[in-house]
Amino acid sequence: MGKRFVGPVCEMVVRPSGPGRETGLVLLFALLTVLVCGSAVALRNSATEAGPLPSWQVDAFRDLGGMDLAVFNALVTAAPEIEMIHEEMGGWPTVDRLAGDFLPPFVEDAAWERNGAYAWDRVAIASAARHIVLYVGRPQGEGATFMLVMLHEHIKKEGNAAGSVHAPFEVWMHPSSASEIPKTVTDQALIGQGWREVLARKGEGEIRSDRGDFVQ
Amino acid sequence: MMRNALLALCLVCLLAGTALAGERPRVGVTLHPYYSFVANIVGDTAEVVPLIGEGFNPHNYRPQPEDIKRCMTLDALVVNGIGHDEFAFEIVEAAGQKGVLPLIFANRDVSLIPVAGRLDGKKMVNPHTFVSVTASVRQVYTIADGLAELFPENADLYRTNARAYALRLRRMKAEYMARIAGLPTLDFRCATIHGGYDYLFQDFGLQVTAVIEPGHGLKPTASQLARTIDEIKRLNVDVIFTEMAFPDKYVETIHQETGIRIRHLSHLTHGEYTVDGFEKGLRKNLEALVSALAYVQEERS
Repeated sequence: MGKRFVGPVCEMVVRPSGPGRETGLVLLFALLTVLVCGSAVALRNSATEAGPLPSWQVDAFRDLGGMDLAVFNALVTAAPEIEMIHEEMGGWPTVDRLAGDFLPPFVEDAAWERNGAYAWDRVAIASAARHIVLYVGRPQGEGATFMLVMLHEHIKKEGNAAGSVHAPFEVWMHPSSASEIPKTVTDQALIGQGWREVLARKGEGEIRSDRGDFVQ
Repeated sequence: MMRNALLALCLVCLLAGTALAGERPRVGVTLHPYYSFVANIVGDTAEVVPLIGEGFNPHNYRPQPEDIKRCMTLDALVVNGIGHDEFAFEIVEAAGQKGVLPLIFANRDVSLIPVAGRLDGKKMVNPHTFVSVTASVRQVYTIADGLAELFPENADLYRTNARAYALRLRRMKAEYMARIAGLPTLDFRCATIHGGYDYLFQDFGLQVTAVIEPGHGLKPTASQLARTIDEIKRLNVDVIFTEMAFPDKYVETIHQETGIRIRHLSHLTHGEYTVDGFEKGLRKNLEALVSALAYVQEERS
Protein backbone atom coordinates (compact mmCIF):
# COMPACT_ATOMS: atom_id res chain seq x y z
CA MET A 1 0.00 0.00 0.00
CA GLY A 2 1.65 3.24 -1.05
CA LYS A 3 1.10 6.50 0.66
CA ARG A 4 -1.72 8.54 -0.85
CA PHE A 5 -1.04 12.17 -1.48
CA VAL A 6 -3.67 14.38 0.01
CA GLY A 7 -3.65 17.94 -1.35
CA PRO A 8 -5.00 21.02 0.39
CA VAL A 9 -8.73 20.83 0.83
CA CYS A 10 -10.68 23.67 -0.73
CA GLU A 11 -14.25 24.04 0.38
CA MET A 12 -16.66 26.24 -1.48
CA VAL A 13 -20.12 27.03 -0.26
CA VAL A 14 -22.60 27.59 -3.09
CA ARG A 15 -25.35 29.78 -1.77
CA PRO A 16 -28.82 29.76 -3.26
CA SER A 17 -29.52 32.75 -5.47
CA GLY A 18 -32.01 34.01 -2.96
CA PRO A 19 -33.96 32.76 0.00
CA GLY A 20 -36.81 30.89 -1.77
CA ARG A 21 -36.64 33.12 -4.83
CA GLU A 22 -37.31 30.32 -7.31
CA THR A 23 -40.23 29.12 -5.24
CA GLY A 24 -41.65 32.62 -5.24
CA LEU A 25 -41.22 32.94 -9.00
CA VAL A 26 -42.90 29.58 -9.59
CA LEU A 27 -45.81 30.58 -7.38
CA LEU A 28 -46.10 33.93 -9.15
CA PHE A 29 -46.08 32.20 -12.52
CA ALA A 30 -48.75 29.76 -11.36
CA LEU A 31 -50.87 32.65 -10.09
CA LEU A 32 -50.48 34.48 -13.40
CA THR A 33 -51.47 31.33 -15.31
CA VAL A 34 -54.59 30.93 -13.19
CA LEU A 35 -55.50 34.59 -13.66
CA VAL A 36 -54.98 34.55 -17.44
CA CYS A 37 -56.86 31.26 -17.92
CA GLY A 38 -59.65 32.37 -15.60
CA SER A 39 -60.05 35.64 -17.50
CA ALA A 40 -60.07 33.78 -20.82
CA VAL A 41 -62.77 31.38 -19.62
CA ALA A 42 -64.83 34.22 -18.18
CA LEU A 43 -64.55 36.24 -21.40
CA ARG A 44 -65.47 33.23 -23.53
CA ASN A 45 -68.49 32.44 -21.39
CA SER A 46 -69.60 36.03 -21.62
CA ALA A 47 -70.41 35.37 -25.29
CA THR A 48 -73.70 33.90 -24.16
CA GLU A 49 -74.55 36.94 -22.08
CA ALA A 50 -76.69 39.38 -23.97
CA GLY A 51 -76.19 43.08 -23.74
CA PRO A 52 -78.92 45.25 -22.28
CA LEU A 53 -81.97 45.59 -24.51
CA PRO A 54 -84.59 48.31 -24.52
CA SER A 55 -87.72 47.37 -22.59
CA TRP A 56 -89.69 46.83 -25.80
CA GLN A 57 -87.36 44.09 -27.01
CA VAL A 58 -86.94 40.50 -25.85
CA ASP A 59 -83.85 38.32 -26.15
CA ALA A 60 -85.27 34.97 -27.30
CA PHE A 61 -82.28 32.97 -26.08
CA ARG A 62 -82.26 34.50 -22.61
CA ASP A 63 -85.86 35.39 -21.92
CA LEU A 64 -88.14 32.87 -23.65
CA GLY A 65 -89.21 29.54 -22.19
CA GLY A 66 -88.99 26.33 -24.19
CA MET A 67 -92.43 26.50 -25.82
CA ASP A 68 -92.20 30.16 -26.81
CA LEU A 69 -88.67 29.66 -28.10
CA ALA A 70 -89.87 26.76 -30.26
CA VAL A 71 -92.64 28.91 -31.81
CA PHE A 72 -90.23 31.80 -32.34
CA ASN A 73 -87.52 29.63 -33.93
CA ALA A 74 -90.06 28.06 -36.25
CA LEU A 75 -91.14 31.54 -37.37
CA VAL A 76 -87.52 32.58 -37.95
CA THR A 77 -87.03 29.54 -40.19
CA ALA A 78 -90.37 29.90 -41.96
CA ALA A 79 -89.86 33.58 -42.83
CA PRO A 80 -87.30 33.15 -45.67
CA GLU A 81 -89.41 30.37 -47.15
CA ILE A 82 -92.51 32.56 -47.06
CA GLU A 83 -90.50 35.22 -48.85
CA MET A 84 -89.41 32.69 -51.50
CA ILE A 85 -92.98 31.50 -52.05
CA HIS A 86 -94.07 35.11 -52.35
CA GLU A 87 -91.44 35.82 -54.98
CA GLU A 88 -92.45 32.73 -56.94
CA MET A 89 -96.22 33.05 -56.88
CA GLY A 90 -96.59 36.79 -56.48
CA GLY A 91 -98.94 36.58 -53.51
CA TRP A 92 -98.43 35.81 -49.86
CA PRO A 93 -98.94 32.15 -48.95
CA THR A 94 -101.98 31.30 -46.89
CA VAL A 95 -101.66 29.57 -43.55
CA ASP A 96 -103.14 26.43 -45.14
CA ARG A 97 -100.49 26.48 -47.85
CA LEU A 98 -97.72 26.76 -45.25
CA ALA A 99 -99.23 23.96 -43.21
CA GLY A 100 -99.46 21.87 -46.39
CA ASP A 101 -95.70 22.31 -46.83
CA PHE A 102 -95.25 20.95 -43.27
CA LEU A 103 -93.85 24.30 -42.17
CA PRO A 104 -93.81 24.81 -38.42
CA PRO A 105 -95.34 26.56 -36.53
CA PHE A 106 -98.25 26.42 -39.00
CA VAL A 107 -98.48 22.66 -39.51
CA GLU A 108 -100.81 21.17 -36.92
CA ASP A 109 -98.84 18.20 -35.63
CA ALA A 110 -97.91 16.84 -32.22
CA ALA A 111 -95.25 19.52 -31.69
CA TRP A 112 -97.76 22.23 -32.60
CA GLU A 113 -100.11 20.83 -29.98
CA ARG A 114 -97.43 20.67 -27.32
CA ASN A 115 -96.31 24.21 -28.10
CA GLY A 116 -99.69 25.81 -27.45
CA ALA A 117 -101.76 24.81 -30.52
CA TYR A 118 -101.49 28.28 -32.05
CA ALA A 119 -104.23 29.37 -34.44
CA TRP A 120 -102.72 31.52 -37.18
CA ASP A 121 -104.23 34.32 -39.25
CA ARG A 122 -102.72 36.01 -42.25
CA VAL A 123 -103.42 39.70 -42.66
CA ALA A 124 -102.08 41.73 -45.57
CA ILE A 125 -101.62 45.47 -45.34
CA ALA A 126 -100.79 46.45 -48.88
CA SER A 127 -100.69 49.79 -50.62
CA ALA A 128 -98.69 51.31 -53.43
CA ALA A 129 -95.98 52.32 -50.99
CA ARG A 130 -95.63 49.32 -48.70
CA HIS A 131 -96.26 45.61 -48.52
CA ILE A 132 -96.62 44.33 -45.02
CA VAL A 133 -98.07 40.93 -44.26
CA LEU A 134 -98.74 39.72 -40.76
CA TYR A 135 -98.98 36.12 -39.60
CA VAL A 136 -100.58 36.38 -36.17
CA GLY A 137 -100.81 33.34 -33.91
CA ARG A 138 -102.78 32.95 -30.70
CA PRO A 139 -102.49 29.98 -28.36
CA GLN A 140 -105.49 27.88 -27.41
CA GLY A 141 -104.85 28.33 -23.71
CA GLU A 142 -102.63 30.66 -21.77
CA GLY A 143 -99.62 32.13 -23.50
CA ALA A 144 -98.33 34.96 -25.64
CA THR A 145 -99.56 36.05 -29.06
CA PHE A 146 -96.85 35.87 -31.73
CA MET A 147 -96.73 37.96 -34.88
CA LEU A 148 -94.46 37.49 -37.88
CA VAL A 149 -94.20 40.76 -39.80
CA MET A 150 -93.04 40.31 -43.38
CA LEU A 151 -91.62 43.55 -44.70
CA HIS A 152 -91.43 43.09 -48.41
CA GLU A 153 -88.66 44.71 -50.47
CA HIS A 154 -87.23 46.35 -47.36
CA ILE A 155 -89.73 49.15 -47.49
CA LYS A 156 -89.40 51.08 -44.26
CA LYS A 157 -92.38 51.12 -41.96
CA GLU A 158 -93.99 54.49 -41.40
CA GLY A 159 -93.06 56.36 -38.27
CA ASN A 160 -89.44 55.24 -38.20
CA ALA A 161 -86.37 57.20 -39.18
CA ALA A 162 -86.14 57.25 -42.95
CA GLY A 163 -83.35 55.67 -44.91
CA SER A 164 -82.28 52.96 -42.48
CA VAL A 165 -82.22 49.36 -43.62
CA HIS A 166 -83.85 46.66 -41.53
CA ALA A 167 -84.39 42.92 -41.72
CA PRO A 168 -86.97 41.69 -44.25
CA PHE A 169 -89.03 40.31 -41.38
CA GLU A 170 -89.56 40.84 -37.68
CA VAL A 171 -91.17 38.80 -34.92
CA TRP A 172 -93.19 40.44 -32.18
CA MET A 173 -95.00 39.00 -29.18
CA HIS A 174 -97.76 40.21 -26.91
CA PRO A 175 -98.27 38.88 -23.38
CA SER A 176 -102.00 38.48 -23.95
CA SER A 177 -103.21 35.29 -25.61
CA ALA A 178 -106.07 37.16 -27.29
CA SER A 179 -104.33 40.26 -28.52
CA GLU A 180 -106.02 42.14 -31.36
CA ILE A 181 -104.42 42.22 -34.78
CA PRO A 182 -102.78 45.65 -35.06
CA LYS A 183 -104.09 47.98 -37.75
CA THR A 184 -100.98 50.15 -37.82
CA VAL A 185 -97.64 48.44 -38.00
CA THR A 186 -94.99 50.80 -36.77
CA ASP A 187 -92.58 50.29 -33.91
CA GLN A 188 -94.23 53.06 -31.93
CA ALA A 189 -97.77 51.83 -32.53
CA LEU A 190 -96.89 48.24 -31.64
CA ILE A 191 -94.98 49.25 -28.51
CA GLY A 192 -97.90 51.46 -27.47
CA GLN A 193 -100.22 48.44 -27.66
CA GLY A 194 -97.94 46.32 -25.50
CA TRP A 195 -96.11 44.37 -28.23
CA ARG A 196 -92.41 43.55 -27.81
CA GLU A 197 -90.02 42.70 -30.59
CA VAL A 198 -88.30 39.34 -30.18
CA LEU A 199 -84.65 39.19 -31.19
CA ALA A 200 -82.88 35.96 -32.02
CA ARG A 201 -79.47 35.06 -30.65
CA LYS A 202 -78.20 34.19 -34.11
CA GLY A 203 -75.16 32.18 -35.01
CA GLU A 204 -73.82 35.33 -36.66
CA GLY A 205 -73.26 36.92 -33.26
CA GLU A 206 -71.41 33.88 -31.96
CA ILE A 207 -69.31 33.69 -35.11
CA ARG A 208 -68.33 37.36 -34.89
CA SER A 209 -67.53 36.95 -31.23
CA ASP A 210 -65.40 33.81 -31.59
CA ARG A 211 -64.25 33.84 -35.20
CA GLY A 212 -64.68 37.42 -36.31
CA ASP A 213 -61.24 37.44 -37.90
CA PHE A 214 -62.40 34.75 -40.34
CA VAL A 215 -65.51 36.64 -41.46
CA GLN A 216 -64.86 38.21 -44.87
CA MET B 1 -60.14 5.21 -91.23
CA MET B 2 -63.43 4.67 -89.44
CA ARG B 3 -61.60 3.18 -86.46
CA ASN B 4 -59.29 6.21 -86.22
CA ALA B 5 -62.26 8.56 -86.33
CA LEU B 6 -63.99 6.69 -83.52
CA LEU B 7 -60.83 6.73 -81.43
CA ALA B 8 -60.46 10.46 -81.99
CA LEU B 9 -64.09 11.02 -81.01
CA CYS B 10 -63.59 9.03 -77.81
CA LEU B 11 -60.48 11.04 -77.02
CA VAL B 12 -62.30 14.33 -77.58
CA CYS B 13 -65.17 13.19 -75.29
CA LEU B 14 -62.72 12.07 -72.64
CA LEU B 15 -60.82 15.35 -72.74
CA ALA B 16 -64.03 17.36 -72.70
CA GLY B 17 -65.29 15.36 -69.73
CA THR B 18 -62.04 15.85 -67.88
CA ALA B 19 -62.08 19.55 -68.60
CA LEU B 20 -65.67 19.87 -67.38
CA ALA B 21 -64.88 17.85 -64.28
CA GLY B 22 -61.90 20.11 -63.65
CA GLU B 23 -64.11 23.17 -63.86
CA ARG B 24 -66.44 22.02 -61.14
CA PRO B 25 -65.84 24.04 -58.00
CA ARG B 26 -64.69 22.14 -54.95
CA VAL B 27 -66.81 22.92 -51.89
CA GLY B 28 -65.32 21.74 -48.61
CA VAL B 29 -67.37 20.70 -45.58
CA THR B 30 -66.35 20.06 -41.98
CA LEU B 31 -69.08 17.77 -40.65
CA HIS B 32 -71.13 14.91 -42.07
CA PRO B 33 -74.49 16.72 -42.12
CA TYR B 34 -72.93 19.54 -44.11
CA TYR B 35 -71.75 17.03 -46.70
CA SER B 36 -75.34 15.91 -47.20
CA PHE B 37 -76.71 19.47 -47.17
CA VAL B 38 -74.23 20.74 -49.76
CA ALA B 39 -74.44 17.63 -51.96
CA ASN B 40 -78.21 17.99 -52.12
CA ILE B 41 -77.98 21.69 -52.91
CA VAL B 42 -75.30 21.59 -55.62
CA GLY B 43 -76.21 18.31 -57.36
CA ASP B 44 -73.64 17.69 -60.07
CA THR B 45 -72.47 21.29 -60.33
CA ALA B 46 -69.78 21.03 -57.67
CA GLU B 47 -67.60 18.48 -55.94
CA VAL B 48 -68.24 18.18 -52.20
CA VAL B 49 -65.01 17.58 -50.31
CA PRO B 50 -64.86 16.54 -46.63
CA LEU B 51 -62.10 18.58 -45.01
CA ILE B 52 -61.12 15.68 -42.74
CA GLY B 53 -61.38 11.94 -43.25
CA GLU B 54 -64.03 9.60 -41.91
CA GLY B 55 -63.96 8.19 -38.43
CA PHE B 56 -62.56 11.14 -36.53
CA ASN B 57 -64.13 12.81 -33.54
CA PRO B 58 -64.67 16.47 -34.46
CA HIS B 59 -64.56 17.46 -30.79
CA ASN B 60 -60.87 16.78 -30.33
CA TYR B 61 -59.52 16.49 -33.87
CA ARG B 62 -55.96 17.62 -34.52
CA PRO B 63 -55.30 18.79 -38.11
CA GLN B 64 -53.16 16.55 -40.31
CA PRO B 65 -50.83 17.62 -43.16
CA GLU B 66 -53.15 16.11 -45.79
CA ASP B 67 -56.03 18.24 -44.44
CA ILE B 68 -53.95 21.36 -45.05
CA LYS B 69 -53.10 20.24 -48.59
CA ARG B 70 -56.76 19.46 -49.25
CA CYS B 71 -57.81 22.84 -47.93
CA MET B 72 -55.57 24.56 -50.48
CA THR B 73 -57.55 22.97 -53.33
CA LEU B 74 -60.96 24.24 -52.20
CA ASP B 75 -63.05 27.03 -53.71
CA ALA B 76 -65.28 27.42 -50.64
CA LEU B 77 -65.69 25.87 -47.21
CA VAL B 78 -68.93 25.32 -45.29
CA VAL B 79 -68.48 25.41 -41.51
CA ASN B 80 -70.61 25.12 -38.40
CA GLY B 81 -68.65 28.03 -36.93
CA ILE B 82 -70.21 28.09 -33.47
CA GLY B 83 -68.04 25.58 -31.67
CA HIS B 84 -68.34 22.23 -33.38
CA ASP B 85 -65.55 22.42 -35.94
CA GLU B 86 -62.75 24.43 -34.38
CA PHE B 87 -60.24 22.31 -36.27
CA ALA B 88 -61.36 23.91 -39.54
CA PHE B 89 -60.03 27.30 -38.55
CA GLU B 90 -56.65 25.84 -37.64
CA ILE B 91 -56.50 24.09 -41.01
CA VAL B 92 -57.51 27.21 -42.96
CA GLU B 93 -54.91 29.27 -41.12
CA ALA B 94 -52.17 26.65 -41.55
CA ALA B 95 -52.97 26.42 -45.27
CA GLY B 96 -52.51 30.17 -45.63
CA GLN B 97 -56.15 30.45 -46.72
CA LYS B 98 -57.37 32.78 -44.00
CA GLY B 99 -59.08 35.71 -45.72
CA VAL B 100 -58.62 33.99 -49.08
CA LEU B 101 -60.86 30.92 -48.99
CA PRO B 102 -64.55 31.95 -48.83
CA LEU B 103 -66.15 30.51 -45.70
CA ILE B 104 -69.89 29.88 -45.53
CA PHE B 105 -71.05 29.98 -41.92
CA ALA B 106 -74.03 27.62 -41.93
CA ASN B 107 -75.32 28.90 -38.60
CA ARG B 108 -75.26 32.56 -39.51
CA ASP B 109 -79.06 32.88 -39.47
CA VAL B 110 -79.99 30.13 -37.03
CA SER B 111 -81.76 31.25 -33.89
CA LEU B 112 -79.73 29.50 -31.22
CA ILE B 113 -81.04 27.83 -28.11
CA PRO B 114 -79.32 27.10 -24.81
CA VAL B 115 -78.25 23.63 -23.73
CA ALA B 116 -81.32 22.52 -21.77
CA GLY B 117 -81.16 20.50 -18.58
CA ARG B 118 -77.72 21.64 -17.48
CA LEU B 119 -77.47 20.67 -13.88
CA ASP B 120 -75.56 23.88 -13.08
CA GLY B 121 -78.40 25.96 -14.55
CA LYS B 122 -76.11 27.99 -16.86
CA LYS B 123 -77.36 29.05 -20.30
CA MET B 124 -74.75 28.01 -22.83
CA VAL B 125 -75.17 28.12 -26.60
CA ASN B 126 -75.86 24.71 -28.08
CA PRO B 127 -73.85 24.30 -31.32
CA HIS B 128 -75.59 21.05 -32.41
CA THR B 129 -77.93 22.79 -34.81
CA PHE B 130 -77.47 20.03 -37.40
CA VAL B 131 -79.38 17.30 -35.54
CA SER B 132 -82.83 18.78 -36.06
CA VAL B 133 -85.03 19.42 -39.07
CA THR B 134 -85.97 23.05 -38.44
CA ALA B 135 -82.47 24.31 -37.65
CA SER B 136 -81.02 22.23 -40.49
CA VAL B 137 -83.48 23.71 -42.97
CA ARG B 138 -82.39 27.19 -41.88
CA GLN B 139 -78.79 26.19 -42.50
CA VAL B 140 -79.60 24.67 -45.88
CA TYR B 141 -81.02 28.03 -47.00
CA THR B 142 -78.01 29.94 -45.67
CA ILE B 143 -75.62 27.57 -47.43
CA ALA B 144 -77.61 27.81 -50.67
CA ASP B 145 -77.48 31.62 -50.46
CA GLY B 146 -73.74 31.57 -49.81
CA LEU B 147 -73.07 29.23 -52.71
CA ALA B 148 -75.34 31.27 -54.98
CA GLU B 149 -73.25 34.35 -54.24
CA LEU B 150 -70.04 32.52 -55.06
CA PHE B 151 -71.37 30.71 -58.14
CA PRO B 152 -74.21 32.91 -59.41
CA GLU B 153 -74.60 30.91 -62.62
CA ASN B 154 -76.17 28.14 -60.51
CA ALA B 155 -78.11 30.33 -58.09
CA ASP B 156 -81.57 29.28 -59.30
CA LEU B 157 -80.65 25.61 -59.18
CA TYR B 158 -79.28 25.89 -55.64
CA ARG B 159 -82.41 27.60 -54.45
CA THR B 160 -84.71 25.07 -56.08
CA ASN B 161 -82.70 22.15 -54.72
CA ALA B 162 -82.58 23.69 -51.25
CA ARG B 163 -86.35 24.04 -51.14
CA ALA B 164 -86.91 20.51 -52.41
CA TYR B 165 -84.49 19.15 -49.81
CA ALA B 166 -86.10 21.17 -47.03
CA LEU B 167 -89.52 19.86 -47.99
CA ARG B 168 -88.20 16.29 -48.03
CA LEU B 169 -86.77 16.67 -44.54
CA ARG B 170 -89.98 18.18 -43.21
CA ARG B 171 -92.04 15.45 -44.86
CA MET B 172 -89.91 12.84 -43.12
CA LYS B 173 -90.49 14.53 -39.78
CA ALA B 174 -94.22 14.65 -40.55
CA GLU B 175 -94.24 10.84 -40.93
CA TYR B 176 -93.04 10.47 -37.37
CA MET B 177 -95.25 13.24 -36.06
CA ALA B 178 -98.21 11.33 -37.46
CA ARG B 179 -97.16 8.29 -35.44
CA ILE B 180 -97.35 10.18 -32.16
CA ALA B 181 -100.39 12.26 -33.09
CA GLY B 182 -102.69 9.91 -31.22
CA LEU B 183 -100.68 9.94 -28.03
CA PRO B 184 -102.02 12.16 -25.28
CA THR B 185 -99.77 15.10 -24.47
CA LEU B 186 -97.70 13.81 -21.62
CA ASP B 187 -94.97 15.24 -19.47
CA PHE B 188 -92.08 13.43 -21.13
CA ARG B 189 -89.04 13.63 -18.90
CA CYS B 190 -85.78 12.53 -20.44
CA ALA B 191 -82.07 12.84 -19.78
CA THR B 192 -79.37 12.86 -22.44
CA ILE B 193 -75.78 11.90 -21.91
CA HIS B 194 -74.63 14.56 -24.35
CA GLY B 195 -76.14 18.04 -24.53
CA GLY B 196 -76.51 17.80 -28.26
CA TYR B 197 -80.14 17.04 -28.94
CA ASP B 198 -82.03 20.13 -27.85
CA TYR B 199 -82.80 21.25 -31.40
CA LEU B 200 -84.19 17.80 -32.24
CA PHE B 201 -86.33 17.80 -29.12
CA GLN B 202 -87.52 21.30 -29.89
CA ASP B 203 -88.83 19.99 -33.23
CA PHE B 204 -91.07 17.69 -31.19
CA GLY B 205 -92.14 20.29 -28.66
CA LEU B 206 -90.08 18.50 -26.02
CA GLN B 207 -87.32 19.58 -23.70
CA VAL B 208 -84.42 17.71 -22.18
CA THR B 209 -84.79 17.46 -18.41
CA ALA B 210 -81.15 16.71 -17.55
CA VAL B 211 -77.79 16.44 -19.31
CA ILE B 212 -75.28 14.05 -17.82
CA GLU B 213 -72.01 15.29 -19.35
CA PRO B 214 -70.68 18.10 -17.17
CA GLY B 215 -69.35 19.88 -20.28
CA HIS B 216 -69.12 19.37 -24.02
CA GLY B 217 -67.13 16.17 -24.52
CA LEU B 218 -66.20 15.89 -20.82
CA LYS B 219 -66.75 12.68 -18.92
CA PRO B 220 -68.20 12.90 -15.41
CA THR B 221 -66.05 12.15 -12.41
CA ALA B 222 -67.26 9.58 -9.87
CA SER B 223 -68.69 12.26 -7.59
CA GLN B 224 -70.35 14.08 -10.52
CA LEU B 225 -71.84 10.79 -11.65
CA ALA B 226 -73.21 10.13 -8.17
CA ARG B 227 -74.80 13.60 -8.08
CA THR B 228 -76.21 13.05 -11.57
CA ILE B 229 -77.80 9.76 -10.51
CA ASP B 230 -79.40 11.47 -7.51
CA GLU B 231 -80.65 14.26 -9.77
CA ILE B 232 -82.09 11.84 -12.32
CA LYS B 233 -83.96 10.03 -9.57
CA ARG B 234 -85.24 13.32 -8.16
CA LEU B 235 -86.43 14.54 -11.59
CA ASN B 236 -88.39 11.34 -12.30
CA VAL B 237 -86.74 10.87 -15.68
CA ASP B 238 -88.54 8.41 -17.98
CA VAL B 239 -85.83 7.64 -20.54
CA ILE B 240 -82.11 8.27 -20.89
CA PHE B 241 -80.73 8.86 -24.37
CA THR B 242 -77.13 7.93 -24.92
CA GLU B 243 -74.95 7.54 -27.99
CA MET B 244 -72.42 5.07 -29.31
CA ALA B 245 -69.38 7.22 -28.54
CA PHE B 246 -70.14 7.52 -24.85
CA PRO B 247 -68.40 4.92 -22.63
CA ASP B 248 -70.77 2.11 -21.71
CA LYS B 249 -69.61 1.94 -18.11
CA TYR B 250 -71.21 5.28 -17.26
CA VAL B 251 -74.45 4.36 -18.96
CA GLU B 252 -74.51 0.95 -17.31
CA THR B 253 -73.89 2.48 -13.89
CA ILE B 254 -76.71 4.96 -14.37
CA HIS B 255 -79.02 2.22 -15.61
CA GLN B 256 -78.16 -0.07 -12.71
CA GLU B 257 -78.63 2.66 -10.14
CA THR B 258 -81.84 4.13 -11.54
CA GLY B 259 -83.41 1.29 -13.52
CA ILE B 260 -84.34 3.80 -16.22
CA ARG B 261 -84.59 2.58 -19.80
CA ILE B 262 -81.66 3.55 -22.09
CA ARG B 263 -82.20 4.56 -25.75
CA HIS B 264 -79.72 5.59 -28.44
CA LEU B 265 -79.49 8.74 -30.52
CA SER B 266 -76.87 9.56 -33.13
CA HIS B 267 -74.76 12.67 -33.14
CA LEU B 268 -74.76 12.41 -36.98
CA THR B 269 -71.04 13.14 -37.26
CA HIS B 270 -69.75 9.60 -37.77
CA GLY B 271 -69.42 7.11 -40.61
CA GLU B 272 -69.25 7.67 -44.33
CA TYR B 273 -69.87 10.99 -46.02
CA THR B 274 -72.88 10.35 -48.24
CA VAL B 275 -75.54 12.38 -50.00
CA ASP B 276 -78.34 10.72 -48.05
CA GLY B 277 -76.36 10.23 -44.83
CA PHE B 278 -78.16 12.98 -42.99
CA GLU B 279 -81.58 11.66 -43.94
CA LYS B 280 -80.66 8.14 -42.85
CA GLY B 281 -79.23 9.32 -39.53
CA LEU B 282 -82.14 11.64 -38.93
CA ARG B 283 -84.60 8.84 -39.61
CA LYS B 284 -82.92 6.66 -36.99
CA ASN B 285 -83.07 9.48 -34.45
CA LEU B 286 -86.72 10.18 -35.22
CA GLU B 287 -87.46 6.48 -34.86
CA ALA B 288 -85.68 6.36 -31.49
CA LEU B 289 -87.48 9.40 -30.19
CA VAL B 290 -90.93 8.34 -31.36
CA SER B 291 -90.52 4.81 -30.01
CA ALA B 292 -89.37 6.25 -26.66
CA LEU B 293 -92.47 8.44 -26.50
CA ALA B 294 -94.70 5.47 -27.30
CA TYR B 295 -92.88 3.37 -24.69
CA VAL B 296 -93.37 5.97 -21.95
CA GLN B 297 -97.03 6.31 -22.85
CA GLU B 298 -97.46 2.54 -22.65
CA GLU B 299 -95.65 2.35 -19.31
CA ARG B 300 -97.82 5.06 -17.80
CA SER B 301 -101.07 3.65 -19.10
